[in-house]
Amino acid sequence: MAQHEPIVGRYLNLEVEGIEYRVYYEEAGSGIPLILGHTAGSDGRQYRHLLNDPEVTSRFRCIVYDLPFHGKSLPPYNEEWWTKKYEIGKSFMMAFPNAFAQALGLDRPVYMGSSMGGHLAIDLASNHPDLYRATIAVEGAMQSAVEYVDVGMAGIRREFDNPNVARTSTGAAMLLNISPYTPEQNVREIQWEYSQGGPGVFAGDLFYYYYDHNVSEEEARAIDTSKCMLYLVTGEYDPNTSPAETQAIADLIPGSKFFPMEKLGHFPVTENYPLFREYLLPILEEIETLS
Amino acid sequence: MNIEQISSYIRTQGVEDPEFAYTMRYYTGAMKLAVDDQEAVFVFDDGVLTDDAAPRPDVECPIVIRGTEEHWAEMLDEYPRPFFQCLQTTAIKHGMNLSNTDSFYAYLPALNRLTALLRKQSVAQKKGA
Repeated sequence: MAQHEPIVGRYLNLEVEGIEYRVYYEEAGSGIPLILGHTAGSDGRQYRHLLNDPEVTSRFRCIVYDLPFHGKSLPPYNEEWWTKKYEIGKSFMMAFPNAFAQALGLDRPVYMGSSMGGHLAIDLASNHPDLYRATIAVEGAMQSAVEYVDVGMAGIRREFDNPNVARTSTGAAMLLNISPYTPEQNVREIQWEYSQGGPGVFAGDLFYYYYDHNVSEEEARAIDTSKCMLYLVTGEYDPNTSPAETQAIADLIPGSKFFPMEKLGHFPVTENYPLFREYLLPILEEIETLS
Repeated sequence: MNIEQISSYIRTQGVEDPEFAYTMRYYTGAMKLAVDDQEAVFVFDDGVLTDDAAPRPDVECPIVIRGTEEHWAEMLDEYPRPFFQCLQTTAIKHGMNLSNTDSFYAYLPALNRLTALLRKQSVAQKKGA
């Protein structure tokens, strides 16, 4: 007897900022729409454990997309994308889930994203509070850690977009983001996913992650959590966005809620989903109550 | 672990690890590890560790990992405290020195594996002590 998972995948033709993309997404469950955003250089497979969690999918319609150039979402067919250096910015990062939600007819969905998706949760709460009932920033902050920002795009490309260095090394480098408490098979799964990205895509994603996402104190203070509630969760082993850095923005945003997570790192959803859901479930329950 | 223990482990057991051997494939050149001012050099020829352990300057070693005794001790803990979890975080957050070369990045899978093996050995030594 076939043992199918409840996850179903589909393709959507979606226009974003004047360009049409063939977007792959997966979903499971029913109820309040919950859009899930993956990390830089990876894809929606990171959420497979969540999409298989009946305690979530019994109440939330969980939808995870692969951004264009990631996973099974190919580069745009009608564009000469190979003539340009791939680099993703804040404008596109915000426009994409907005267009995606509109195309699927989602009514004020919840957005949850990790890493660059976590930064995006903050940008969406700040810039599009009318479109989302709540956002959840997993590993989000005003800006990524200064030690990494200071490396600069040239340094980033030397490590992650270098013809002398195989993509395998990008997977290996992700060890820096992972808690030492992570089960080895999950470490390897994260590294496997990171070993499969398109050329230059991870480095190009980091333009948004390190530079184009940069929330000022003034902007943070102006985020209206009565319109769009903002939750933040950050793992103690995340060197790119440490709990202290998330705490700094949480302190500025009236009404936001921050939960530091012990024994987790930058990829908590994949590192150790059973541990991550201990933080996630109360948040989802609160969103459900307030909806 | 001190540099003698690290060196001995790599030469006798580390090179026998299938993942380390695989991820070092085709490497030709020197790799230097240093604990404070104590150094050990490992020279590979097409991925195979040679007997050549002659000292040489960093500039002749495409891969250099240089840390203090504290860096190594913290990093090789069974469950390191935050940001000692690997070579790269120990470098960027705590000041360990790593070479910024294509070879270092290309062979990062091997260096991470080596760190994991040394951690396992270090933990075993502590538990046996």
